[in-house]
Order: sequence, then structure tokens, then C-alpha cells
Amino acid sequence: MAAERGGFARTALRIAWRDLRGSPGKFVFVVLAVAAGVGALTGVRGFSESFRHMLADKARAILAADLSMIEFTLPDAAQQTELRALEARGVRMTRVTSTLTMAAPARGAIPSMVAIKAVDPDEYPFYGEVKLRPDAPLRTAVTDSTVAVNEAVLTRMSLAIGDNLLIGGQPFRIAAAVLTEPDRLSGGGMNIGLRVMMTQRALDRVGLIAPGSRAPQRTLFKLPPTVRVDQVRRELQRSFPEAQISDYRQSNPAITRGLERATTFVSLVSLVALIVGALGVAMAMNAHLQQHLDGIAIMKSLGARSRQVIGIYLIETLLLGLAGALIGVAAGYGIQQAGPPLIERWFNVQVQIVWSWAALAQGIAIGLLTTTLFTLPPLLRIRRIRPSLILRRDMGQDEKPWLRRWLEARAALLAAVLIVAGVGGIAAWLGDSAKTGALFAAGLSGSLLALGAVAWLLLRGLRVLLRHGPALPVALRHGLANLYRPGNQAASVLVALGVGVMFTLTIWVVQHSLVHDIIETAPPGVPNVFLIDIQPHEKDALLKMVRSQPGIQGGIDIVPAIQMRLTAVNGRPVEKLGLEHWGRRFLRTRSVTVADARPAHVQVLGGSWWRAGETAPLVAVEEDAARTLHIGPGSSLAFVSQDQTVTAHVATVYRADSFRMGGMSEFTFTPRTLAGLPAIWFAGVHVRPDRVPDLQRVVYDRYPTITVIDMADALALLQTVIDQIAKVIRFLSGFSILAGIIVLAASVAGTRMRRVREVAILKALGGTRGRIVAIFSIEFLVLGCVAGLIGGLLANGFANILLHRLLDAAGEWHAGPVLIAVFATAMIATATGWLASFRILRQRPLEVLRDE
Amino acid sequence: MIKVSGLTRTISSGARQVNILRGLDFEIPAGQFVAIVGASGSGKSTLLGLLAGLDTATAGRIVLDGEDITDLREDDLARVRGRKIGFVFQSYQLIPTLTAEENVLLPLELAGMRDGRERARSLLDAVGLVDRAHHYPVQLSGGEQQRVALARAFILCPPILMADEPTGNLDSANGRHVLELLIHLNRQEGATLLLVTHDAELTAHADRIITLRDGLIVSDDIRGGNGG
Repeated sequence: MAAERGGFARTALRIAWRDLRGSPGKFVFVVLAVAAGVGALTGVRGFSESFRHMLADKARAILAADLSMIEFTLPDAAQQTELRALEARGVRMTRVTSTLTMAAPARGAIPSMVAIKAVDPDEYPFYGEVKLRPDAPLRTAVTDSTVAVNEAVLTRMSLAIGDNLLIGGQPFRIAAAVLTEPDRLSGGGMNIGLRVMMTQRALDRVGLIAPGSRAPQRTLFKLPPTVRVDQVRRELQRSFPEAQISDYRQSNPAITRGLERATTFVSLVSLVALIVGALGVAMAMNAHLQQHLDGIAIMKSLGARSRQVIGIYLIETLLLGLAGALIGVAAGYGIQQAGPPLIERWFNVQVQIVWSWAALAQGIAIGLLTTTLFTLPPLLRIRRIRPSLILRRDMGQDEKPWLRRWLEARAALLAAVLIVAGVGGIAAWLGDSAKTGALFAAGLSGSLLALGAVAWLLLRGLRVLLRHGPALPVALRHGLANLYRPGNQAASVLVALGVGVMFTLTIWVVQHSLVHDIIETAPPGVPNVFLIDIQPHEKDALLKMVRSQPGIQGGIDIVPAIQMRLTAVNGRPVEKLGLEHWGRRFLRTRSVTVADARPAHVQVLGGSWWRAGETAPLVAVEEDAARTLHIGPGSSLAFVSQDQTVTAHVATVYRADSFRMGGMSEFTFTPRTLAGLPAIWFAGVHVRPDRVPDLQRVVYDRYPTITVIDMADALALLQTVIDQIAKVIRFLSGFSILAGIIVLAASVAGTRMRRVREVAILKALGGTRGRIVAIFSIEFLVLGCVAGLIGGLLANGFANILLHRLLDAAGEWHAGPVLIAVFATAMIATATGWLASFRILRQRPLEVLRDE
Repeated sequence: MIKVSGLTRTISSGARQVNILRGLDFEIPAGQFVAIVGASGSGKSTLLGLLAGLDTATAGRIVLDGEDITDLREDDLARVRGRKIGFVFQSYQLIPTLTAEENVLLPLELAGMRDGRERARSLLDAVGLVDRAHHYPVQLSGGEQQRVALARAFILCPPILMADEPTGNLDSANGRHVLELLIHLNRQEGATLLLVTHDAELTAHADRIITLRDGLIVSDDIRGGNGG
């Protein structure tokens, strides 16, 4: 028995090979469909891997380290032991101290407040680069007797490189101006306008840091490859409970969120390319088997069992899948090779190719797996092909209603379950998350069902219209009639096209919403200059003056800040809440603010914001604070300011963008609640970057106690990163959409054999080419329009689900893209239809018809 | 009615030239019932295809109803076919997307005519399928499909009817039914009938039997009757 089976396997392989070799032209689309899917997959995967590396590199540069720890006190003996133990494991570390002090260009001149950043130039930065003017290594510019300053110092103090600067009464020569430094964004909030970089030894020498001083100490860690960042992070958290620890994976909330979303999104893009490719395979294989019905019937009539015939075509499928996968992997590799130079030129992002045998094997394995999965239904249908088919040609086409056919076809149901499970598994594998896999599989089967149902309804409706409706022009009627014949491929083409449109459009909508979201989070117009510690009596005059300055763009955000301390949560004293680590900040006095209406760019997560003029004592709580304090809408909070106690109920929990003024406080009260309490004001304004030093000078001249914080360059860096993420997302989507178009073309072209015959018949019956063109164009157009419409509508729904469930972003409905999808799909379907039918028109009828 | 001179059809199969038809000359007067017979591969189906303008001759001329179709362009050929020729194929060649009635109406619509539903109905009635007018080809048996194809061939009252092994795919009972219908309809419509066949029963009804072997006419037997 086994020998017999082995013998047949060889025979099957031989028959399969002969069949494939016999008509290589026929399989171009099958191989192309697989290659498109696998190529997209491996290309996108490799690309996203490279991109992730790039992001990770950038993330490290933003921190200048793998891990950073900010303490407000000097480490005690036990903590120093812990640090030494880490050093013994190969962890490198360097200290960065930030403090404020006064500096002056010369004795007798007016001193200015400057932010000191003391580093060890031999170690700092671990990642990224400090760029200086004139160009020089940091260690030669910043020595124990020289400093580097930012341009604002030179402008404001009318100094030049080479001049002296007095810090703590001691002269330092300015050796260079700092153009960029990697860790500006994560510098611990000390990005005050005038900045001086000096060595740790020099800082010690001037004696600015007295014992017990609260100057923030930032320790940067660089880990050897053998040490895991989360492990070190846990250890540090245990030994330094008061410290603020962040690692490169979440160096900045906005960037981290961007990175996480980009990663999830890129995985989805790969999946979409894969599914569209697999659908192409199914369509092409289905068409292939349709052409082989006679051959299969003949084989069966000669005694072949269904299992043997399935074996032959399974081998063909695997061979085609393998060929497609290999071409696809090669194409994906080529795309990756060609990608980085293009990306570097267009996007100014350095992408390094990351290529591994594992990714290669994954591409081939997934190519073969999906090919087999999606070819299951047509392969299983082989069992139902009767030998009598050779006697009666069209018997393979069933006349039973769709639903009964489905119920009867248990094998098809099983295949459907296998496909959904398999796709879910692959999705989970690629997305590295079971949730992603499950959602993806659910979305896929849901949309397939929806598409199938709509296709069925449409075909039914057309049939009724054609039978009972008004007489239509011949070409129109014939074109429409082509869509609804029993056992036709229109429904499956509709589903395949619809899914293709749905996925490509889903990418677009998701991308659009994400980019929109990122731009909303940090739009170009956010304040880049913050004015801090504005006294109430200064407020109006200052605002008036700032508004009249050149280079001010947009309005000025201004919020009051009131110093308050939280005393009780739901009646429990705050000391008894067992707050740990960073949560202990609530034991200290915090800055809170007031707002009459919901500030723009604040997202309400729970509860609802109050209406303007609200008199009840209500407070809105930022989500992190709410999580730490375990509170939600309805909780009651007690605060104390000076000797006044304020009790307020939580109205809402919100998420704020930290780059906006509204996002700087964790508690926002109704104005009435805090009326009468002393407030100072914070203002944020967007200033053209080259005008920022002028603004600083003007404000300093008139209001020396108001600190002007220049966020312009910090935000510019962030904007660059966000722009790059958005651009790469667009690029990846374009790639996947292209793959989708190839597969759509293949699926339309899959009906070629049917058309060859019909064109021949029409010609034999006297049809001119013009009339035939009209008939088929209408069919393609209607097919494309309907597929575009269904796919477009489903894409909106699917994208919204994805955005809400997976990406935690807000979705919206897009009508424009649906219209574009309808038009584009109709055009693509017609163009590809004719591309595939072009040769058909020239064929002489007899060549086709006598072949029967 | 049909005038053929020096008709040659050569196909190249790789480097080899295969002469399927080697210079045929004959004339068929209007209304004649001609059976073209011959062994498999003798060139009879190729001849019929050329006469119907479904294929292009390598050399020689074909004149149908006074019109030389030899050098006509593709679309003009299609128009000639639509106007002058009804064709019945061995494997029916109905359009699967259209109902029986729509298939019958198709040549009429392709010729740009709108009103033919009456005639389609009467033809379907003549072939005994008026109650199946709204069925699709897959819902019909082979014999029924061929009867639809017959009705379709006659819809435009063509002066010439060509049939390529019309009963070749049918069992004998169905074959006989189709044959009877074909001859009956042809009598009624008065068309010139060209029939390629193996079937002795078919040839028995013919006015004239042209026998082909290896691309040449080996006998041309005129047996009187209405055209002879």
C-alpha cells in the first residue's frame, strides 16, 4: 500500500510537472499573484524591520542612552553599590547634571540665568552626536576650562566664540556653539533658553552643587548586548524607588506611541499584502481548475480517485506557490536593496538593510501556506467533478441556490474555517499578538461574509431588474447578464476585488487617520516658546507686547497655574494610599489649572467635560494621574492651597498632549472652584524659529523674572521624526496598494478562458469588435464599481474597528475615498479586463471553437 | 450561392507545413443540402470554418451570395456572418450567461435589431422548448442545448446554414430529434444547408455529398433533390 502510494506520488509529480510545463504562459498570473503577495510581505517585513531599527536608533539617540534615570538626590551608599554591580556586568554609565545658575559675559555686566548641563565628554552621549560650530569633537571643545553654549547665549549676551563667560564667578572660554544635541527632548525639563555645556569636573570646581541640593542628576546607561534593558530597569526601579527611569523604548510618550503604532501598522500592512496576494492565488487557481475540468473528468473516467487527482493539483499548487514565493522573496529583496537609497534621498532617513535567513524562510513558508490554504476550496471541489462531465460540458456548474450549496458543501465550510484559522494564525505570527490574529481573522471572515452577501444580493437584484425591468440597450443588458448567470465567477471576482479594495483602502484610511492623529498631537503650529512665572499684574501687558512682536504665528495659549497639594482621595488621606515611585509626587505640591470649556486637543476618555459657566466644584484628571490614584468620574478629591481646602468631584478623565499648554497639569478645575486662589500664569506661543532670540531679548528686557523657554528646536526634532514616520507609512501603503493592484488584475484576468470562448461565439454569430468591447466593458465597469463601493464601505468600517481596537486612535468616515475607490476600481477592472482580453479579440473564432 | 476556387489552408506546426486543404474548387447553388463527409483529419471542419468566415484561407477565393469574403476585414466578416450564415456547432456553443431565449435573440441583437422576441418564441416553439425559454444552458440537456442552437442559427433567416457535426455530441434519440428539426426548419426556411458529418443517417437526407480525404475532394456525389 505504502509502495503504491509512493509510486503514485512520483506519477502525480510527473503529471503535475508535465501539466505545468505544457502551458507555461497560463501560469504567469498564478505565479505573479503569489510573488506579489510574498514580495510585498517580505519586502514590507524587511522594510519595517529596517525601519524599526532606524526608529530604535533614533529612540536611543533621543535618550542618548539605552536607559536613563533621573534622581533628585545624590545616591546613597547602597545605591552606589548597586551601580557598581551593574558596572561589573559591563553596563557603562555616565552622569549628566542639570542645574540653573547665573552667568555674565564679564564682571559688572547684567547676569542672566543659564541652564547648566554638566557631562563627561569622554562618555556622553552614548548614542547620537553633539554637533558643534566650529565642527569639533565634544571632548576637545568641552574641557575643564572651556564650555560650549547654545546660540541664544551668544546672541543674548553679545558674545562670540573665543570670549569668556563667568560662571559662578569663574571664567570659562567659549570654545564652540552647540548646534544639536541628541537628548534635548529628554533632558529632564531643563531646556531653558540659555544653556551652557560643561564638564562634571568643572561643575564640581565652581561648587554649584552643594550636598542636599535638588539639582536633577541624570544617569545614562549603555547596556552590553547580553544585558536586557527591562531587567536593568526593574533592578534600578527597586533600588531607586524615587527615581524617574525611562528606557529608549519609551523615551518620550509621543515618540513611543508613534513607534508602537508604526510597528502595529507595519505588521497590518504586511498582512494586507499577504491576504490580497492569497486571494489572487485562489482566483487564479480556481480559473486554472475550471480550464482543467475536462482533464480531471477524463482522469477520473480512467480510474483516478479524487484523492489522487487532488494530489496532482496540490503538487501543482505547491510548485506554483514555491515559484511565486521564490520570485517574491527575490523581488522583496530587490525592493529592499533599492529602497534605502531612495528613502535616504526622499525622506532623509538612513535605513540600514536588515536581512535574515529567518525572514526569507518566513516569506517562503507563508507564501506556500497561504497558497495552499486559499486553494483548498477549489481543490476540494475536484471531488465533485463527475467523469460524465466529458459528455456534458457545463455540468460542473451548479444550479442550486447559493445558501443550499454552502450548507451541502461541508468540505467547503471546513476549508473556510481552515482558511480563517490559518490566516488568523499567520496574522498572530506576523503581528506577534494573538489579539491581532483573532481580530484580523474575524475582520477577514466578517468582511468576506458581508462581501458575499452583498454580491449575492446585487446579482439577485440585477436578475430581477433584467427580467422584469424596462428593456435596456443590448450591450448593457448583455454586459449585466454576464454578471448573474448561475455558476458564474462574477460573485467570486466581486468578493476578491472587494476584499482587495477593502484592504488597500483600509490601509489608506488607517494611515490617514494615524498621520492626522500624529499631526493633531504635534501640529506644526504648537507653541514652541513658553513664558513661565507670569504674575497676574504682568499678564495683560506682556500678552500685548508679545502679540506685537514679529514672527508670532497664531494666538497665544495662556493658562493659570495654582499651587495645590492633594490631601485626600474619596475621603482617604493621600498618605494612606500607598503611593509608590513616581506616584509619590502626589504627596508634594503640584501645579493645577482651570478651564471653563474642554481645551482643544484634550481627549475625553471617561465621563464628560462640563459646560461653560459650570458652578459645581468639578475637576478633570489626566489619565496617568487617574490610573495612579485609582480614580475615575465620580471620585472625590480634596486639595489644600495655602490654608484653604477645596473638595471637588472628578467629572472626566482625559488624555492631553504634553506639547500643549492644557497638557501641563494633571488636574484641571472649573474656574469657580478655585476662584480667589493666587495664580501665576504660563503662556505658550508659536514663534518663527529665527525670531525666538529676539523675543527672548525683548521679554528679558521688560520682564527679567519671566523665564522664556525655547521649545523650537526640541519640537523641530520631534516634528522631523513624526514627518519621517508619516512618510514611511505612506511609502509602505503605496507598496501594498501596488501589490493589491497586481492581484486585482490577476483576478480579473482569471476569467480569460471563459471570455475567449464567448468572444469566439459572439464573433461567429456576427458580433463586431466594437459591440463585443461594449458588452465586456459594461461587465468590467459594473464589476469594478460594485466591488469598489462594497470594498470602500467595508474599508471604512474595518479601519474604524482597527483604529479603535488595536491602535487606540479615533476613526472617522471618509466618503471621498469611497468615491475614488469606486472610480479607480472600475477603471482598473476595465483596464485589466481589456489588458487580459486584448489578444482574445484578435483570435479567430475557429481556433477556439473547434478545440471543443 | 457559394463559390469556392483554389481554396487552400496551410498551417505551420513548428518547422513543418501541414496542408489541410489543397486547392478546392466547387460551387453550391442556393437551397441545396450538401453533406461534407470524410475521415477525421480530412479537413472537412476546416473547410466549413473557412466558408463561414471563421478562419482565413491561405490561398483561393470564397464568394458567398455574390460577396467575395476572402479579403474582408474582421468586422466586415462578422457582419457577413451575421447576415448570411447560421452556424450550428458540435458542442452547441451557447453563451452560458444568457437564457435560452436570449441566446436565440443574440444574433439579432448583434446585428443591431431590437424586435425579434416573437420570432424567437416561435422558433423555440418549433424546437419544442418554449417552456424553457428562461432556462440557462447549464439547466438544459445536451439535446436541448443543441435545439436552442438550432433556433439561434435560424433567427435571422440566413440564406446559408452551416452545421458542424450537429449530432456528434448527442445520443441517437436526441440526435435524431435534432436532425429532424434541422431538416424540417431548413425546408421551412429554404436555406442552403452545409453539413459536416460522420452520420450516415444524416447524409441519407442530403442532395449532394462531398467527400474529402487529405485536403482534397475525392468524390462529389449529386443525388438530385431540390437543389441538384
